[in-house]
Amino acid sequence: MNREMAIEVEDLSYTYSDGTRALDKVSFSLAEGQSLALLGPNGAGKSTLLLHLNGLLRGQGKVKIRDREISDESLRWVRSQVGMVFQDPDDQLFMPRLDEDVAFGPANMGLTQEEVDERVKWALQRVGLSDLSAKVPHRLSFGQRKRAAFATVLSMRPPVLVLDEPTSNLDPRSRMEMVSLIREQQRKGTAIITATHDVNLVPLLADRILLLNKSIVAEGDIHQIMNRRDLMDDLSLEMPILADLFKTLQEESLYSGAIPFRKDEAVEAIREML
Amino acid sequence: MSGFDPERYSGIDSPLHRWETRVKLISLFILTISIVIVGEISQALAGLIIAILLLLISRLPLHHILRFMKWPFIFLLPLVIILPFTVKGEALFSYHSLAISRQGLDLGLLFLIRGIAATTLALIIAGTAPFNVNINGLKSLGMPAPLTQIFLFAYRYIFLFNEDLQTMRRSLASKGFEMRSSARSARIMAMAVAMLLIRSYERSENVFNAMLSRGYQGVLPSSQKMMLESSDLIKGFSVLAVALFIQFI
Repeated sequence: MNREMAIEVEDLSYTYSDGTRALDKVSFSLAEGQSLALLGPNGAGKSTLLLHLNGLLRGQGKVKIRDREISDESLRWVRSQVGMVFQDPDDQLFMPRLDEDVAFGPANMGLTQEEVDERVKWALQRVGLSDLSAKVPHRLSFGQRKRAAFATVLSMRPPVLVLDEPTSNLDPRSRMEMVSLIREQQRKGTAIITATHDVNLVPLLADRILLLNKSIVAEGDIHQIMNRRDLMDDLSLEMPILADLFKTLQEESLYSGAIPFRKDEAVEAIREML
Repeated sequence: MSGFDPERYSGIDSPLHRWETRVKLISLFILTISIVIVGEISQALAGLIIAILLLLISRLPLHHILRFMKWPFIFLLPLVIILPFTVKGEALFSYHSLAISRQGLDLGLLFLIRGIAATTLALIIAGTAPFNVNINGLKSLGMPAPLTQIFLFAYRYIFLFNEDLQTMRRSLASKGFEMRSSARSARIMAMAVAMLLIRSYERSENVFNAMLSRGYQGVLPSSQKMMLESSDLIKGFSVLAVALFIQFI
């Protein structure tokens, strides 16, 4: 199936004003309906890269969103196409009430009040916060604020979602809810790029992976990249716990099958071993 | 946040909670002005009684109001103590060169009563509607949009600033720091506060980025509809009549 490209990044480099080189000739692309995990050590340039996808930073090189290059002229359109969820929900929830925050993006898109209201209702319902629409953000729990931050972007119904550590500091249940929310959006055709340190969640929330350390270290299918211990070690990253276990068994010649990344795959592999 | 939450009871039902925001703001503002410009204690007392009556009608819990009342007391009580000694007039009591003057005591009490009445009215305004509703009311009454945004963001982020402050204090305490009146304590507190300000600056950049990413172009959208009913005007005229009455006591 031929899919349109949602994100195309070509030779993107960025240096901060203090001289720190954050990105060095980064190139990759992401098609509509694909989910990509962005991994790298601290200071690898993950957040810097994400900020470029919404035009918040502008480096050397090209960034295209749905075949349109980010420029001063296209900026407003780009921001209606790329929904960005920041790592700290308190950076994202700036309005006095939750429903006003969720309405902020759609209202800036020039939608009518009826459309805005409908989207606010829909987005809050998607993240399970309908009952808290009139709450002030500081009265929400951290998990609720994370979901609220997601709703503020969902309400814009962007074809591209950029998520910076969406599961950080969440309890296990909230993490899984966030994963299913991300996958649900992907099934609807949204292209999603997620920066994360949670290696165990990567196989659940993405199909492809991009390892970044200022420049791209590796890119491709999760199963091919995440079972390379050397690659992960070099970037001070861990392998997912299941993959790590079966890789160790493989290295000790106790297992010869494919490396499982998910619980159901691991159960099947153990059954075969027995 | 432990103490500061003036809109905690903005969701309860009372004639003042139901009062249309713009009319309420104008009426109570005029009443406040009417009270703070009076020159007689009897007028100020009448203003205070009216403020207390409005407080009772608003059904705001007394403990909620009293929590904020310590501030006018802290600022105004020194006047009640100092003015009787500094304002010249009829001596009520004298000891050697020290004399307490009636005019000074009257003036101090006048300031105190006016201050308490005005603060009570301000707390009624803040407590009977969510902060954003009041700010949007002021905006529709002509307050400039940039000022509206500053107030809204300041209110939102003051809670986060306080959370950061609490975290910092716990962090200092966990490392054995005890506040003392020493140069070392002052230096550590100064550095900690400076760090808080730097963090706040970083947060402001992040917030601005989050706003831009959602299409912000300098205007905050508002969906609040304000409906004016005849009962709002009746309440408004009643308060204005009382404000006028105070002037003619």
